[in-house]
Amino acid sequence: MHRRLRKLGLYGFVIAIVISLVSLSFVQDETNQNELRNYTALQKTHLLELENYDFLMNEENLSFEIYDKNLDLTYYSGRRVDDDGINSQTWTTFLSEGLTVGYFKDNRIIQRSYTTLKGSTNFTYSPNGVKMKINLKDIGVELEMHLHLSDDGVLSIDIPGDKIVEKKKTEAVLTHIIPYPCFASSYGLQDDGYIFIPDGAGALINLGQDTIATKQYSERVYGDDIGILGHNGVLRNASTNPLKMVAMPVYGINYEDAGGMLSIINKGKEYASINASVKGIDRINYNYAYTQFYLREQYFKYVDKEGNGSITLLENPYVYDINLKIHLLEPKTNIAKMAQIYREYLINNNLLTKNISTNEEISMRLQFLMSENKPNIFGNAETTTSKVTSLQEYVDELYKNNVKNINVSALGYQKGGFSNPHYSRFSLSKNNNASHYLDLKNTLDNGSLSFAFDYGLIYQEARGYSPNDIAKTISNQEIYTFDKLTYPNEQNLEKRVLLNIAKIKEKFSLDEKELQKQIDQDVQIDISDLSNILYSSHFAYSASRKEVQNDYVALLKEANVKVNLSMPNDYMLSRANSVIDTDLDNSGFYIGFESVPFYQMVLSGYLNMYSKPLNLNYNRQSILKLIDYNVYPNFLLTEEDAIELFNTNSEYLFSSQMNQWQDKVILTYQEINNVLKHFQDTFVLNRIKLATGVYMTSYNNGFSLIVNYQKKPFTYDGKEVLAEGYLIIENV
Amino acid sequence: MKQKKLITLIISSLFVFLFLMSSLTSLTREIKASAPYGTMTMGPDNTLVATQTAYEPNELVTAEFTNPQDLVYDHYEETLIVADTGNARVVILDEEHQIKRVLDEELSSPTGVSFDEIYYYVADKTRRVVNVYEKDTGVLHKQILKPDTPLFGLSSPFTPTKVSVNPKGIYIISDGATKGVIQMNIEGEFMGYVGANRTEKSFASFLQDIFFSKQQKESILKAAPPSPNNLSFNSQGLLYTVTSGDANAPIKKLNTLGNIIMSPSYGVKKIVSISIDESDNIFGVTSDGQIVVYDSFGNLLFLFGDINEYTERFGNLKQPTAISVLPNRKLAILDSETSAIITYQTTDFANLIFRAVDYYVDGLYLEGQALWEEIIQMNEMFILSYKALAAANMKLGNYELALKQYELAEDRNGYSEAFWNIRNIWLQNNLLSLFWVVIGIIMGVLALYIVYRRTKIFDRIALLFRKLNSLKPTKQMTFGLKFQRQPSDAVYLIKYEGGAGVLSASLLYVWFIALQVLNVLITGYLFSSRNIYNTQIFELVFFSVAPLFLWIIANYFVSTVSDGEGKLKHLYIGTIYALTPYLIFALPIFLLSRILTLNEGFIYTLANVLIYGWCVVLLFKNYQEMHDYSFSKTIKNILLTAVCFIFFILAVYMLYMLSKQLFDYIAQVLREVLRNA
Repeated sequence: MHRRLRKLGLYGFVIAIVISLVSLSFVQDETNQNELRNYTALQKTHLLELENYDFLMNEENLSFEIYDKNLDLTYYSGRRVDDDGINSQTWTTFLSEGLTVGYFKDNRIIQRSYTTLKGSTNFTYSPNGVKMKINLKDIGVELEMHLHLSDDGVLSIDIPGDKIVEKKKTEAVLTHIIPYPCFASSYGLQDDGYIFIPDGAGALINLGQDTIATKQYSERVYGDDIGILGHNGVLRNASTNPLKMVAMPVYGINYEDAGGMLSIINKGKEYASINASVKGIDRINYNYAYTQFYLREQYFKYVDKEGNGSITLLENPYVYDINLKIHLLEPKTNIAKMAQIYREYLINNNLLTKNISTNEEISMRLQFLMSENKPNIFGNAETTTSKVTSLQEYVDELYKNNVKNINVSALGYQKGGFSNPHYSRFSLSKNNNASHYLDLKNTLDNGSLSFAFDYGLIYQEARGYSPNDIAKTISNQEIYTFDKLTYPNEQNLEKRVLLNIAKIKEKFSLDEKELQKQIDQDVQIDISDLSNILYSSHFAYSASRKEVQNDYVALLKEANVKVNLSMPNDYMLSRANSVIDTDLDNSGFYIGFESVPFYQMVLSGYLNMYSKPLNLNYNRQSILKLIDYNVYPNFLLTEEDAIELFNTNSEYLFSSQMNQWQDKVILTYQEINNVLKHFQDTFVLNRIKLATGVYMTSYNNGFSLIVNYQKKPFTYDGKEVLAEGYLIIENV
Repeated sequence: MKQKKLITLIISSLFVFLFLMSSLTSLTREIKASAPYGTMTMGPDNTLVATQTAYEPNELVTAEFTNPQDLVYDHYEETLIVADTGNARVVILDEEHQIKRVLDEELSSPTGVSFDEIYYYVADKTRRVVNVYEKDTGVLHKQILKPDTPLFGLSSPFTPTKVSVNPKGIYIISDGATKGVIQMNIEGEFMGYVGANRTEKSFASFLQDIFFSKQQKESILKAAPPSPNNLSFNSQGLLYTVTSGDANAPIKKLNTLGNIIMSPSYGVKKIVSISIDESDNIFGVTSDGQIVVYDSFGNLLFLFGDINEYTERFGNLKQPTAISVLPNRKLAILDSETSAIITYQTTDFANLIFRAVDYYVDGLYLEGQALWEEIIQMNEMFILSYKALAAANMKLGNYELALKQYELAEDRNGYSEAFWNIRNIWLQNNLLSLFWVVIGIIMGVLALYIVYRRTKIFDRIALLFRKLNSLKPTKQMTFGLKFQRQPSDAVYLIKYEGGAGVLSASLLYVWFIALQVLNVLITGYLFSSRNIYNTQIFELVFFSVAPLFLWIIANYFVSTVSDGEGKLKHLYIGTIYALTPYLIFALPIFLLSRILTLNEGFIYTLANVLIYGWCVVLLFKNYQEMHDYSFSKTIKNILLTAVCFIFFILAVYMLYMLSKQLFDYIAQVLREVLRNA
């Protein structure tokens, strides 16, 4: 009897172990935020009591906690889990402390946090914040950092540029500053948690799944500065499908059951990069996102024509103020809410103004390549690819088919064609004179006529400029880069060069004047480059990134014509009449590839947005995306067959004959218009993923739009959304 | 005792269970992401052109692989077989990409996998065996070891890296084997080698063969042909080999005798693996992360995938090792660096292409016509479309349209056939009229001749012609005709009696240049080697005239030191007159080329050979008479002129390089001075 009982007991014990192990293997590695130990509680602290928040400052390591009295929620500037297994002082201080800097010493860049640099601070408290005078004794650096928490939950972090003092320059010099790198960070997998990164249209890093990425997300705001990086920068970006730029310097973190944040880089964005990492990368299991502000950069200094040289650090630092505006977010904050917050920020800072034209129907952009430079036996010659008189007939035909509000854009309209215009003169290409354009403009009903031109990044074979007109890198090389259009066909890294601001101004002013004089006062100009590139310039036209930015903005501010901009960076939004060639994708990084139309959600209801040429990627999914993202259609067409463009820089236009595309243009417009005409002048309230490939976007007009990208129907609330279809419903 | 055994049994079961739990997990993520690469296809002039995205990355499958080296889709079981080399196992994934079975018996480093209806075959490089496992149980059925038959070769290596099986037998790629793919029957008995690559003789090796001694030849590395490093079969059991080291023909399709019957025209370097679908389309992946798709004829359909070492983007590969085609032409690619399988699915555009290609390769041109027209609309640079449409139009009798389309497709054979039909129809319609026109011309000429001979109506005109002929310029311009009949006398007249002058010779040089341009513009498409896109007039003129002048100068220099009598001026004049056959007959031949088909190409070739031959003879005679050389001395003179000519080119090139360096140096110094100022 006893034996049997013992046996039963043994069996039972074994089975229990097995069951426990099985259940453990299916349990996700999840942290319960509420049980994480608060390191700060035992150290030297100072408490500020605000109306809605308690702000607890840790004077030992500059970290803090913010307690939201209304939501009973705590936000941590950085914290560690008890048993995270990290022993490295570098990592432990990075995760916990309020200031991390990089400095150059002994021929390498070292990154350390506050306490490891023997930091000491003088604190001056105010009702809403603290001013810290920080001394990093180990490297002889002094700086100030100010924290201010508003009653509506916006934490402002300021580091005045003129207060940064380097006292031991011969030993160590600052390269970068990272304030509060682990604000709102978390440990391990987080169900329904995500980090939003402004990669192209936008991307989400899913915190609920293990990643196979081995690299952090780390991208410069406004893209790499080729003025500093030179050839290496071009090499990094050259691709048949280049990386998308960060046009809006904002990022955020959201959790299911903990506070998140939306961080807007208010000052210093020209010298900042946005970084994000998740569990599984960097050998630690934390999820975090931060801004790194560069004070000095490394560049390759050439010593001879053969390309020999060495990596050198900039001698003098960039001097600028740093300001981060961190919005405290409650749990389960929708990405649409983040977009709203950011839009309000843009409006309040005069970076975005409403510039939307609404009619009964939506508008469509039709761009036509008028002429191109083509080689023949006698050299290169301008070839007419479209005649304005034909465009007029074409537009008339579209009107008959109820295609309304057509905005016509002429590309390659100057003598020499698209790739060989003259940069010191203005004349129209052959076979298309000013009166033709005027007639066309008068035909356009509720539409506009614009003229597209590349003012900054020009083809090397263009005319009317000299080597002195080309902007230079810090190594005194010409700023050149690959051409996104022709790179898939020919991998030429030096296809385009960047003109300096003086030449750009000269050409822009000339074009503007002549277009208005010869054609009409009301013409518009389309610009595809100045709005989304930002390279510092050196030597003859020495200008920092910030100064170049100011120059470009000033140029367009003084313009007497409306300007349509391609995927403009935030500082250019106020100058844009509309957004053209809108990116609908992100770069597809392993760390974060889930698409989210953040850029479009910010601008929806404020600026009309047009897609990239649909004829180059015409499929059902593309049409659905336009509907989903509230973006209007655009086609790039020619009168001649596309095969005539072979062996030219417009060879990428593999399908463009306007008559062949006519039916598709009409059908596409009609379909998109039938949906989006209801969503003009509206902004997004909410966006949720109903299933893989099914999204519902709710607008402030009381309606929601469900888009089903799947190849099978989807049912929502008893209503069927067709396969690769959409449905408009009333908001719940 | 019994209790102890029981406890041992329980504990060991627990460990086995735990081990299985840890391995029986895989993760599949369906991802909605756009392609991080551009897609190319074959365009005009044999260049790559952009096209719509054909494949989009779709799923990411991870199953704790370590350095996996091979992957194949088993259509019998609808599973994926993965050689998980670093973990010494083979993993079978089901349709949902969940682990169905693991094979690890007697495995150290499996690098190649294959299957048939009953067994799995695994090549183990370290153990130098091919293991055969039963599908039903996963148990090791047998091992195929190195054949011990003398036919195999005692010193031949047997290090299996890849294996592939078809009803005819087992085919093994062995590391270091140069005799080709090892062929065994299903029982594992050695049958022979197949698909060996041949050594390509280069000009350098040709010279080595002639000039090197036996010892020297032995001391240099033998040019062993690169060995195939992967293989695949189509549904008919025909073998395809992959040889990464063969830049010209990395993929070869072999017939049952082992002869190459097809190799894709556009070779892509560093192909590591291929897979063939049921339509014999070929899908390959390179070690650079590029994916290439050919149709069964070897025409390039798509090339995509980007290589960028700086970024990690979904859809870009890092170190692909294997590719396999799944149902619906989905692709599964194994990446050993990320230890993951990435699947790619077709877009609507690619589906359209594949449907159209299926019709085309089956010869169903009319059935595929609508599809190809749709494709042309979507991409006018997709050259294969024109070929297919041309074939359809040929069937419909639309020869004019077919002609244009064949020209766009750069298919000379098709163009020739279409042109033959057009010409045939024209002749049928117009032969009678042509006959009467020719008769009319002959009668007219005869009549004029009779009138001329019997009346004085044309006397004034005849007198005018005689006066014109007697003028010096006319005599000089027509001097070439005398050169043809009596070259020796002609040269004498040039040297001593001013039979032809510099001016008339210069005019003929101008005509010569004009003929180079007319050659490009007029010569019929079938016989033209140049195209207008990549020919520039300056280059054309320079490269046709410069060598000629350089030759004349070289000949003058050589002749001067070898007692030649010819002066530079006379050589200048004599050379162009010696080319009179070309000057007279080139244009008619250009025009003739426009009405010939490839079948009559011999006429064109013969005419050119005769003209050039005649010119060579006249040139020879020219130099012989000009310098007053004997036959053998003339030959010597010409050979020395050739050597001198080469030296001139080298000297000009070096001068150009030195000047460029000097100019760059001065420019750099000036830049530095200005910068520091």
